[in-house]
This record gives sequence, structure tokens and C-alpha cells, in this order.
Amino acid sequence: MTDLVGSPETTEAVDRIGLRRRRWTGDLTFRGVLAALAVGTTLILGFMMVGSFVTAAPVYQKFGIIGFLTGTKWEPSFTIYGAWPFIYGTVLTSLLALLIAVPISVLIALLLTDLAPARLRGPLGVAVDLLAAVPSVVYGLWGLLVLVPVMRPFEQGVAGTLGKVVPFLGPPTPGPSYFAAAVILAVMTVPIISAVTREVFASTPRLQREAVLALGGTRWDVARTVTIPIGRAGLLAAIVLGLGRAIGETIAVTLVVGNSNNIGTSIFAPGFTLASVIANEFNEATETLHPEALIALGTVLLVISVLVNAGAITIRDRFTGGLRSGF
Amino acid sequence: MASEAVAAFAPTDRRRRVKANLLVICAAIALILALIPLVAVFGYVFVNGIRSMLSLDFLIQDPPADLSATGGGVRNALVGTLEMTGLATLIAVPIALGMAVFAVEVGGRLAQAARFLIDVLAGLPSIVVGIFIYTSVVVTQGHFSGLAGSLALAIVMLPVVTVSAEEILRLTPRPIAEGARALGLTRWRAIMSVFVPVGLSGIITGILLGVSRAIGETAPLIFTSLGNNFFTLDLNQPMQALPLLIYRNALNSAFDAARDRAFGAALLLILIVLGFNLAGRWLTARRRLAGSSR
Amino acid sequence: MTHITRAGRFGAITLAALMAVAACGAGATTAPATTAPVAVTTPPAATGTPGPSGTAATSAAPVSYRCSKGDGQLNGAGSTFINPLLTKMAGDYLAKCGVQINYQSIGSGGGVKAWQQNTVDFGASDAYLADSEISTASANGTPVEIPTTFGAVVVAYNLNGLSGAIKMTPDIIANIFLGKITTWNDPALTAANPGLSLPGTEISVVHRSDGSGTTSIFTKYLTAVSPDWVTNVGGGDKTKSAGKTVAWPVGQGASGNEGVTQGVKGTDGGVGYIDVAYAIQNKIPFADVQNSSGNYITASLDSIAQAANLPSYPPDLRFDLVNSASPQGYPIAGTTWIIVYQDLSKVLKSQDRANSLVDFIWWAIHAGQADSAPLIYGALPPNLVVQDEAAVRSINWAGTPLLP
Repeated sequence: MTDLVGSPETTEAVDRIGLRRRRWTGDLTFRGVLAALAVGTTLILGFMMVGSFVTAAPVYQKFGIIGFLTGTKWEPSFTIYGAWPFIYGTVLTSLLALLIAVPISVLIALLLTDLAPARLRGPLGVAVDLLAAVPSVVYGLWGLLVLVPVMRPFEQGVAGTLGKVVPFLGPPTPGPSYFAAAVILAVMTVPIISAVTREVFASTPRLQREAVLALGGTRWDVARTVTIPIGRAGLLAAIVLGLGRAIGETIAVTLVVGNSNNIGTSIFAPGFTLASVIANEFNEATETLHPEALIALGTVLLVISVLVNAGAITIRDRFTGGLRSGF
Repeated sequence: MASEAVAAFAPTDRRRRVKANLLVICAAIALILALIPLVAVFGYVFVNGIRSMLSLDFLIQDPPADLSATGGGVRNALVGTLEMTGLATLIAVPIALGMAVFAVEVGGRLAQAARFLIDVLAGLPSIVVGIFIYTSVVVTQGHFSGLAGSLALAIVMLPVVTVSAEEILRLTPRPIAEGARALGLTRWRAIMSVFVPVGLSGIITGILLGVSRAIGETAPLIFTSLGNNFFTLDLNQPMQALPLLIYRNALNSAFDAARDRAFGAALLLILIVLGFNLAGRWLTARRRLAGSSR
Repeated sequence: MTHITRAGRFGAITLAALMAVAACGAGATTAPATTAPVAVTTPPAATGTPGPSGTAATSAAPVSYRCSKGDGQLNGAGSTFINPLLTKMAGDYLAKCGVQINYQSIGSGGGVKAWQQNTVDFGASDAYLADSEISTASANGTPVEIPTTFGAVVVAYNLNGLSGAIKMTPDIIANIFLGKITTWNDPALTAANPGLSLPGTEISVVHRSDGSGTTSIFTKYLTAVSPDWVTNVGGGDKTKSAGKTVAWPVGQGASGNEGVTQGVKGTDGGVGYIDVAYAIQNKIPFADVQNSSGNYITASLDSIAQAANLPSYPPDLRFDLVNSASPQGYPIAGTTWIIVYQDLSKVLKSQDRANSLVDFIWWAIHAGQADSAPLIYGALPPNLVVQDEAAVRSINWAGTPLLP
């Protein structure tokens, strides 16, 4: 797929260009359709996001933007809404998940593009992709009924030894926790990050990779000098995609995160994430301002997402420069 | 890079070999770490779900009204899932591919804005998407419907497919792109005859990721398609889906029979996604084979 | 469990169930079971008369059932607790009348919301409507709330090596969930359980984190029995110490009955509250609770019926069952209501659809009650059925009654 010079696809493409007369109409219509699509999508998504802010406005008015974001208490029966416990939970679980998932994913992607014997790449790739075939509700069930009970002794062990020195790893260890959520999220994001990373790595020019090997380089050299530098922008996109999944994942996290409104001092403590508190409480939100406060949490997620993406785009633009296909 | 490489890749450098081997070992460990949950989840769902799946009734019957009764099947949920995900794919994939091409090939402010919103959308929890469709479609229409569910799933799929398609388009090697332009191809023809075939496997992977994501989603359906205990093909009616059935029956049901059906549904759902995956792979492989034989 | 599926047997079974309930309730000051109520609900072997014309069902004549087809389908949503019963009723009603009742358990609050926004034909809730909820829905008209079944919430626990049910007083339960009793050998617990040797295991509390009718019933009970609970959780305000979500002073939150069960099972010393049907079906041990008469009561069909059997019910049918005065009644019991609008012409597309809706509800409070006992739900007592009938009859189409 990457060795394109003189490939049948190219020949076929060259054969087909007898139709130059129709170029302008084709191009204009094409651009028109694409622009309409973009405008439509932008409007719908924009409407959706602006609508959320409008709904949430009373909450921001009552508590103030800063007051709502930094408020550490969430007590619907007393009409007290503070988003901090959930922001903390979302950031903590997502970062922990990426910390676990990214190295694993990148190594798997390298294994499947450069390192593993060619015969094994296909089947192993399928196996990793299968992780994405498991629906989040099934991960949640498995997490609640299998993973949490299995991990509990481990959590207790760590909390009983390391936890005595580092409060961040200390008790309580009821089982469902930030850490359990992070592990489930890592399992869920590995296939996403590794699949995109693999495509990206596989799309790096084969000529360059073969050149390195021909010059006596090892597979490590190929990865170091060709695959990773060229695929860096794509890798970042993959991480952002995985982060997006981790931040927004709802059902699976809800089942294992422990659902406590308090801010846990340890990663083994039960907590809440923005998405899981919305899922947990929206059904039954009948207290004053409660639905609006949950939508307000949705807008917080939106802003986090904007920040993550803005950051990613900035980094990507810095890295890529001349690497775009420039068509 | 080449001259630097010649210096760097001295074949006698032992440390280099060791490093290379170390990398392979680390990667293998990473792979095993990733495969442990895979085996564990599949095994767990298989063991718990296979009992229900053994009977053909599971596919062609609806659940019994008495939730504590054994037997029956998940036909309504299976058909609902396929119908809603199918419609969602039909809606989302053209938009996603269009957006990807627009962002990469046309560019400009509009493309940036649209792409940015799609990136943001990827981080939005799917339940928020469901709530949005609920207020904008369900309440307006006055009833829950499979159509509303499809729209919610389409929004969930959109960023996944867009991001991966875009990355593939960006990475199409420059010589080919420039060659096609030099030969006088319009953008449209260049994309259709060069990019799409060349990036097909990547695009299919992206679509499959999107479908896999959408087909297993529970949260966006709770307030849109609602669920239906009866069989229906009518997209204007509330519609059942496998994840909804799993969520409601495995988590809150007092009855072993209902839980067994839920695990059967989980196994079925996994097998469906697996089927899509393998079909996609087979298509890609066949296309490549056909291409190289010419 | 599944032997009562023949449509033809509904009548007989209903009668039997109602008589049983009436007999159980004899201790309370109910109207004698031989008067009007039982006569009213004595059905002639469920002879449905198909077609919208129907037969008159007056309170003097035997009950008969009309089967208006409407659109052939009705949608309802709400309470998770009533789901198995309503689904079973729906199956029986489909066999009898050919109308699909699609009920989805999205939670009581969700059901009320969907009903308020008119996206379902009926809602079902484990809590009667709050005044604010009624005013939110006022654009569509006045609600009719129809008690349809009874259930109970139990205090489930996991204590290694313990045989025999633990006995708990109201104070013990309140103090456990307030975090004031922290070990299983607390003096209060050992005093209430003289025959048991309770270990010093730490108590680990699990509560529902998703808003739920189960939480609503449980906290209403705690609010009724414990001033301490009202002070500490509600800041002295009884409307804040009871509800679908409250500010829990201790413990870990879990989603759904299953989440709480896993939380309790996963920890030696775990304690939580779950629906009685769930606990019995899954053989999870739960505590006997001391009621207002001082008796320790095990949650069961019988003790729920005792608690639910009131001499009379308020005219608007909004009532609580917690902390029953009945000597053999289980104190943490509750009701599930079906909720519809009184004037259906504003909310439904056609009168045919409205007819099919009232026909189903009429059927559910009579013949449908036969489905409750096998699924561990408390059936409606006769005097409540009479009041329910009046409520269903008040449902109309622009002023015209839908039932004859």
C-alpha cells in the first residue's frame, strides 16, 4: 500500500485522466458539496454546543463560573453544585489511562509495523483490534464483576506498603476507584490508539525504511529514524482520539469508578467523572437546577475537550510543517 | 538523513543490536498486556453467554414477557441494533469522509472550524449527545424513535471516522499526490482515483472503528431509541438495541434468565463486530490482491 | 414461578390474591372483606369484549375488560422496580387484547420527565409526584396517579461465617448509614441480636449513586424513624433528608441493584439497601427490621401486604407506606404509581389510542394483579382497587369519559 511508485493503482489513475474537459464542473461541484457539508456540520454541532451553554446559564449565574468550577460540594438536595470533584476525577482517570495505554499502544504499533515477523503481523493486529470490538457496557460489566474483585488485593497490597509513604497510593481500597476506571479506560483506548498509530506508521514511506535497513540499521533504527519522526503528528492525533474516548466514556466508567461525590485523596478511592455523574443522575434529576447543573458539567467537558484539541493542534502544526501531503 | 544513517548504522555496533532486541521484547510484553484483558473479557462473556447462544431461538425470537422465564431470544434487539447502526453509518460516513477531504484538500477557515468542532465532539460524552437529540428530536417529535437513536449514533461515529480518514489522507505520499496533480487530474478525480484506493484499508479501518464504537453504545440510546420489548422495523417507533438490553437486564434484573439473555446478547454483539472487522479485512485484502494481479 | 400464564385463569387468580390480601389485612381496620370491594373485583373469568364499544363496568356489576386496539402499541417508561411486573403484564395483555405495551425501565425520575414532556403514553414512578413536578406538567393538564403495585427495600449485608438473619432496629439502621455505628459488634447490634456472635468486622456502607425510587423509599423510612437522620442529612429539613438522591454522610456509591450487591458482596462487613425481589431472587441475606409495634419483621409478600393495607387511602392516592402501624407489617415498603394525564385529548393523537391506554390500566389494576405474587410484588387490596377504579374513570377525552 505504501510502495506507490509504479503501483497498479497509479497506472490505473493515469489511465483514467482522459476526461479533462469535465475538470472544472467536477471540481466546482465537489468543492460545493464539501463546503455545504462542512457548513451543515458546523452549524449542527455549533447549535448543539451553544444550546448546552444556554441551558446551563442559570447555574453559572447562581454560582459564578469560577465558583461552579472550583466548588468542591455537589449536593442536589441543598441546591449546591460544584464541579471540582468531577473535573478532578475526569482528569485523573484520563491521564492515568493514557499513562498506561500510550506506551503499550505505541509499542504494539511498532511491533506490528516494523518488529514482528511479517507472518504474525496480520493475526496479532486482528487480535488487538478485537479489543475495540467489545462494547463499553460489556467492559463495564466485566470490570464490575471480574476486574474490580481481582484488583482489590493488589490495591490493598500497594496501599498497605507504598501507600504508607505516598498518600496518593494509600487507603481506602473499596475496589471501585479512580484506578479501576483508569485500567478499564486503558483497555478501551489501547485498540484505538494502536490502530490509528499503526495505520500512521504503516503509511510512512517504505523506501526510507528499507533504505535504513539496507544501510545496516536495525529495526530499532528504523523506528527511531523513520517511523516515529514521520508518524509523530499522526501519533499525536491517535493520542487525542484516545484521550477523547477516555474523557467521554460513560457507561463503563460509571460501573467501576465508585460514584462518590467526594474528592478521593488516593487513586484507590472511589470518585466520579464528569461523564459518569451525568449518566448517573440525569435520569432522576428532579431537584431545583439539578438538570441544568448536569448540563453545565457537559459544558465543562466541552471546554476541556476544546483545550485538549487546541493544544494538540498547536503541537501538531509545530511538528508537521512540511510533512503534509500538500495537495 | 542518509549520510547520518551510514555513520549511525554500523553493523558491528553491539549496543544497537541489544537495544533493538530490547525493543522487541518490550513490544511483545506490551502486546501480551493488551491481550490479557482481551482473553479475559472474551472468555467471561463466552462462558456466560454461550448457553443462550446455543439455540437458534435466540436469534429469531423476542424476549419472553415474563423476565424470569428461560428461553426466548433477542431478535428485536438484534434487528434494532443493525437497523439503527446501519442508518447511522449511512449518515455519518459520507459526512466524515467529506469533512476529512475538505479539511485536507481544501482547507481554509471553514474547514478548520468544522474539524475543530469534530475534534471537540470526540471528547463529549455520548450521553450528552443523547440528551441533545432528546431535546431537539424526541421532544419535538413527541415520541422516542429508532430514527432519533440513529442520529445520536451517527454523531458518535462522526469524529472517529473523520479523524482516521483525515490522517490517512494526510499521509498519502507526496510523490503520488504531486504526480497526480502534474498529470492534470482535478482534485476530485485525484481523490477518487488515487487517494481513496490507496487509503482504502485505512479508511475501512476508520469506518470499522466508528461502527464498533457506535454499535456498542448504550448511553446515547437511553433517551433516544428508548428500547422496545417488541419487534419492530419501523424507525418511527421506539427501538430495542443489544447494548440497551445488556445494560438493563444484566445490571438491574433480579432474574438469572434475564441475565443469561443479557450475556448472550453481549456475546452476539461481540461476534457481530468481529464479523464486520473480518469482512472489512477480507475486502481490503481482496482489493489489494486484485490490484497486484493486473 | 411461571405457572400463571393462562389468560383464562386471571379472574380466579385475581380473586384468590385479593382474598388473600384481604384476609391478611383483617387485623387492620379495613372495611369488612365481604362488602362492596370484593364484589366489585370479582371478575367473570376475564371475558374480554373486543372492539371499542365495550361493556359497561359499573361498581355493582362484575368487572369486564374492554380491548380497544388503538394503534396496537403504547409506550411507557420509568421505575426500574416495577419493570418485571409491567413487562409480564404487557405479555399477558398482548395475548389477551393484541396491544403491545412497551415499557422501558429508565428510572422513576426519567419516567416522570418523559411523561411531563409527553414523549411516552404513561410514566411509572416509585414516588408520587412532587407539587413542583405537577406544576411543570400543568401545560398538558392534571395528572392522575394510579397505585399499581407494592414493594419493599431490604438492608442487605455480607458478614463471613454468620448464620441466621441479623435483627436491626430503626436506630441501628439510621446510625449505620450515618456512620455512627462502624463495627458489626457495636453494643446496639449485639443487644438486638442476643443469639448471634457478631464479629468486630468494620462496616462498609454501599448506597445507590444513581437517583432511584429505591433510595427514595429507604430515605423516606430513615426520615420517618430518625430525627438524627433528618438533622445530619437534611439539615433539619425533612424534604432534604428523603428523596431519590440525598447527601450521604458515609459510604461508597454504586449503580443499580447489581452495583450495590457487588459492593456489598465484595467486602466482608458490607451493608447496603436493595429491592426485596432482587435480594430474594439472588439469595442475598438481609436484615429483619423492627417495626413501630416493636416486632422484628422479615420482608416478604405477606409482611409487605400487611404494611400496604391501609384502612383508607387519600383521595389523590398520594401516600407513603414507610414505618407501617400494622403489627406484622414490614416498615420499609413503598408503592409504584402509573401516571397519566386526566384529559388525554391534549396529549395523545387519537381517542382510539386513549381508549387503549385506559383499557390497559383498567386491566392492570384488576386481572393484571395476578402477575404480582409470583414475581414477589404486593397485590392491591380491594379498597384501593375501588379508589383506583374511580381514578381511572376520571380519565377523559376533552371532558368525555373514556370508560363507560
